[in-house]
Amino acid sequence: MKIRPGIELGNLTDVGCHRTHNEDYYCYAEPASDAEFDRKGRLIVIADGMGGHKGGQFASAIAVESVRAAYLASDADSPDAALVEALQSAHQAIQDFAREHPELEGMGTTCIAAVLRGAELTYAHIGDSRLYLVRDAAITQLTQDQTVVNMLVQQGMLKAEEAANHPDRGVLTAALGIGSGVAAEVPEDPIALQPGDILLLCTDGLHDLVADHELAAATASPPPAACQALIELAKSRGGFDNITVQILQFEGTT
Amino acid sequence: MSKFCANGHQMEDSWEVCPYCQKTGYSVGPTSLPKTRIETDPAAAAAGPGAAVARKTVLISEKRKSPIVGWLVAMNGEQKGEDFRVRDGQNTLGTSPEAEIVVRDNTVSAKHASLRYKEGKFFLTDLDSSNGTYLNDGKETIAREELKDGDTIRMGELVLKFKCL
Repeated sequence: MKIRPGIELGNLTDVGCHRTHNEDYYCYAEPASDAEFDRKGRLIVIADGMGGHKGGQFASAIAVESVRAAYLASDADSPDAALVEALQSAHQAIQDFAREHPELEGMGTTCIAAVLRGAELTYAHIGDSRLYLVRDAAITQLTQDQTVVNMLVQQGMLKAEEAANHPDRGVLTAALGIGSGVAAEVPEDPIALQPGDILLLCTDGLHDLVADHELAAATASPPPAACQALIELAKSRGGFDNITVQILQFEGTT
Repeated sequence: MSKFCANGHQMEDSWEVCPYCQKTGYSVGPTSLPKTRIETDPAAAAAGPGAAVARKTVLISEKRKSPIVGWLVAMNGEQKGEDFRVRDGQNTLGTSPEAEIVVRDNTVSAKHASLRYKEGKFFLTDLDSSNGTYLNDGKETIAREELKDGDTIRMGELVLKFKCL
């Protein structure tokens, strides 16, 4: 595919050092027509699937494919409404597929989907895959993990440093495909990006082993090299889970 | 700018085919669902104790066993009316606490029979039990038979009705 000018993109996935399958999945997409591109912008998605058998692989694949198809086909006025619709459609698609394939019952996935329209960023997320913004070398985590451990931290029952190595830090409170509704979180207002801003999306295979300041430091390199370096860093520290990262550097609107 | 496949995955310039594209065969639309059956993954099952190091993403309610694919209901004896869950994979039936489905009946052997769910089918196998395993009105003990929804199983004198999901 041809990516329209205005950004530099890099992405990479790795099965890690202990797993036999990669249950992460990801995509980057732009509408085909320029008119649609002006309306919809750029879509970037990561999902980290879970479930027995091949459930995890199916859940993340269905989520990414469904979010992309639904987002690009949506008639919603704003990107955030279209994103929420797209996540709902993915949730439904995962449940429908599980109903037809009982072996996959109980599969689910995290999902972070971000849209960059012009210089305007919006996003929706479920679970513990993250979206970071790096501006002037300072990193901000835009999404809040939907995990039991993070919930305890927010309630003041657990300290942040205790949470970092908590054995249950991978236990989610919400996932696409599981439960009756979609508990997607979206920001109240879109974020205006400045030229030079960097978006980093990743699964817990990365952010579990690599600290925020290390993520920020890596993005000083061009996105493709930064992705490579981050995955190697996570693997050198054990690579316990699948690792997926996408980095998008915003160069400005033309 | 690097090279990207149709799904926006970054590729080396020399690659013709993207190695990162999903291989489940899933694509959006009801007509395009994969026809292939999903099989139990032998590699994951054989991964053994070392695999415990790997951290998996799980939902809070998902720290559990394999999915339920059917039920057995006791039709007589002291457990009459009780249900037993049949899970994906191998389910041993017997009086032993190690059996997946533990029944109380002194005509049933410790490991009496096995009920296996694989690739959408259920198979009942007698495990050389003392009093035999019978299917529906059969007069002869079975060796291995496919089970269908609504079938009646008899182990010794214990009668169980089978319902699949």
